Amino acid sequence: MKNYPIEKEDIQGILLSGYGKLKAAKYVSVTITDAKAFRSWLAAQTIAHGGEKPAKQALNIAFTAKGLQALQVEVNEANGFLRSFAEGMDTDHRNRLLGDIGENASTNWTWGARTDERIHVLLMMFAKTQDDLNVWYPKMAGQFEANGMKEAYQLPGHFLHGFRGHFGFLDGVSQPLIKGLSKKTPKNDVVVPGEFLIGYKNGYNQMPISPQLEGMESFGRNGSYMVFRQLEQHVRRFWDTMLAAYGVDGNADEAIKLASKMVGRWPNGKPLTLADTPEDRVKNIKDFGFAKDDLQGHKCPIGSHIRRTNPRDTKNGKPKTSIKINNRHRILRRGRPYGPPFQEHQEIKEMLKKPDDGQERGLNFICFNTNIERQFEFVQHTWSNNPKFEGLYDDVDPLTGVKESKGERAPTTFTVQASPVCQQHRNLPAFVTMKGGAYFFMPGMKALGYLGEG
Amino acid sequence: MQKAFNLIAEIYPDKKAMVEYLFKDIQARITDNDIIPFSQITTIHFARFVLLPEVKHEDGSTKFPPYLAFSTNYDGDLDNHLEEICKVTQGTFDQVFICCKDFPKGEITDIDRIAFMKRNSDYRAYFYQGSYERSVGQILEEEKRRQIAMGYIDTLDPFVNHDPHTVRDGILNVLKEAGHDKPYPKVIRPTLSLWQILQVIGTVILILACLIPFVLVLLYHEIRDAKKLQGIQWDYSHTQKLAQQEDQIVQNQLTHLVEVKPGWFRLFTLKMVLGGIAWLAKYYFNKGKLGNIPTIHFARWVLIDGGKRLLFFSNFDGSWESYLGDFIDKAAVGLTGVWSNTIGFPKTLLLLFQGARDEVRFKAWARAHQIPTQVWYSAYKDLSLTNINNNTAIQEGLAERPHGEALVELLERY
Repeated sequence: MKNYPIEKEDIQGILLSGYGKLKAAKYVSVTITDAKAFRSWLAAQTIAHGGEKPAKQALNIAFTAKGLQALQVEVNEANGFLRSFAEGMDTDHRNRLLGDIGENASTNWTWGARTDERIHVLLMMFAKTQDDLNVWYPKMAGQFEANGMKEAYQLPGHFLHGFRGHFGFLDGVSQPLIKGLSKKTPKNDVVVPGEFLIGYKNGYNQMPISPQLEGMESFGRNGSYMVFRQLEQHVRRFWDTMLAAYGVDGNADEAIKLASKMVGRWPNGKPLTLADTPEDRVKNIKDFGFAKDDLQGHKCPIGSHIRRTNPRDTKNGKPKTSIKINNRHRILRRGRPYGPPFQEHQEIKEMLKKPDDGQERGLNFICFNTNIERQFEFVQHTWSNNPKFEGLYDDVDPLTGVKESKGERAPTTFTVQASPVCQQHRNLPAFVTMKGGAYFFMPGMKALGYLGEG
Repeated sequence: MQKAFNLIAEIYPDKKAMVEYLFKDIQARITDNDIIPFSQITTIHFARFVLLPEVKHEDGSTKFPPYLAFSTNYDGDLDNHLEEICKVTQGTFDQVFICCKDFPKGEITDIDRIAFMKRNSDYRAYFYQGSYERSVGQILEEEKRRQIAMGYIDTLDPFVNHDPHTVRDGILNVLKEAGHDKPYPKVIRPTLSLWQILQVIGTVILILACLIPFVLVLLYHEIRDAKKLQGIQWDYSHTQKLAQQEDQIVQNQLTHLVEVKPGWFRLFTLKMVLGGIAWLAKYYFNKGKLGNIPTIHFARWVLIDGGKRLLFFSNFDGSWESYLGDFIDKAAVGLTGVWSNTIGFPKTLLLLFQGARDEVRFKAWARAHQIPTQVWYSAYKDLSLTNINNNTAIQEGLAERPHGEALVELLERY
């Protein structure tokens, strides 16, 4: 393996670690009201970097294009910022790519729409316990007014029982790992640093396009682009749909099986390609491909969530080439659920019996990449929302995908490949609603220092 | 037979605004507008109108005049296609053509119109067809049949193991009842005759014989061109304008216009490469993939202005980002071979190497020379190329009445 000297001390901590030990999180977005005051405040902050392992708390910070502009940084092609970042998440074209139409339209977002001038900076606060966070946050917020900031919006973040997602499935299983940072992981998931960190070679063996500012040529170095999308999850609707799929009486086992087909894994995380039942023994739930035994999708359907968001070795051609191409479209996920669990222990059989509680819950989807268009937007449009993915006709990602028809969000279809003929589940409702989001740039530590100097 | 029609006619510079206005009108009601109601023209797969803007020399004089480009991917022979266009449009099309310098004035008939269109479309198109030789009618009918069959498959109990023969008979039955069971003739893909194989061998020997001097001249050109290359130049507002048009339906279009590097050597090389690609498209890439890319319905290269500029039209599935990604990941050699002969292309090595693999520079270059397509029509906006080819495989497969494993494979295509 080639040795990449990754400058951990210059990289913000959240990029290199999910902070699994810091269980409580708060994402606070603020407006810069006084650039000078904000700069000196920023210079005085202790920002967690990748060379340390914070045990009690960690603060990381990212900026929208509007935020950098508030600090007199020009965000354009001449300065080497990505077009997607400069324009922001909410444009007419991007709405189509990302499925932000109908009920997902930015006019319904609570934050981040193009008309929202408030979202400048995101303070990502992580603490060991909720109590610690409850002590820390008021202290933080107390500094805002005197330091040229105003709170715009905040979201909580936490882990659910057993690292399950709100629908009850094990979450965040397959994650790309940055080459050069030694950790055990299947080879397929090892991705060159330049896909997630600016200043290192990317999947095309080239340097990612990097922001350069007057006075700091290497402003982009050790930084990354961050995508934040607040996705509400409709848990009761999800399980009602599964129960109703084969008729009114709703067999629990069949409902869980269908949901697992949609996810591509059993609730405990075992991939369908390796495990015919949730009890089957699996050596490594991350280490598998579809090409060898499951190309037709008879085990893990072609349109399932995990296959669409990471097709592994199936992107037409030889498996090895496929993985290489596939890995030019990976994202580093760092999101956390928000809102109370539907069922305390995320037991699906209990969920199936529980009436709707009317509470909002979902996922703060957060991911990092160095080329938003080739990575995050590609995954969302070419894979998740693509009705024609891998030869399909009319399906989208059954969990997160958006089917468009005449500018509106339409019910979706899910195809379960089988022999001799497939089964189709039609008229599926949306299980996820987009509530707000933005594209951010997370600078490296030295670049933060540059912004702090003014 | 699927063919490519390219009309490229010079327009009066002061008529540009009027043409743009008409194009907006047409695009707003693309299928049923009053000027050219595309859905009534049965021979068209894809069609587009593009204004090729005027290009000026540094001193302000005209380098290339403004043109109107009208292109279609059509079935059958050209006369029949143009006659159908005239018959459907009943002269309403003159509103557009009147902006062209060469369009006859006064009272005119369809004979004059057809003569005008033919006169201004005498270009060789280096052409690729993803839905090789199927007509619009066949493509739409095969999708209809799949949907009828799916209606039957939907009624099958998901908890029962079904006998493939019973399922096949059920499908054949519903198709027959619906009157959608007449088989189409099997698509015939050309193969090489012995004489043609000898010609290929001869050509290869000829190329090999010339290889050393060719490579030397090429290297000289490549080193010289690399020195002229400037930094990556993005223009976000131009790119945004193009992107605003995209991702409305399953397919997208690309119109790309770039100057060929000056001198006979590059033009000669370009013609050789394009000739090679068109030949391969006919004899080898005739099963739905160009290189290894399965999303291109039609693509064509046309040399205009006496070989000074290269025009490229493409109709493809999915986003620009995924198309360009496929270019780089799966067909970098071919497209570098073509566009390395045009200005501003990323540095290449031995014609085929490097070039497009310089991802960001290549994408910036592609956007810089892409021009907006004012009018674009697709006859089957809900079908991907993979769908079309799968539907044909089903239709042809059913007609062959397969058994055993072949039958199961066929049914799994649904």
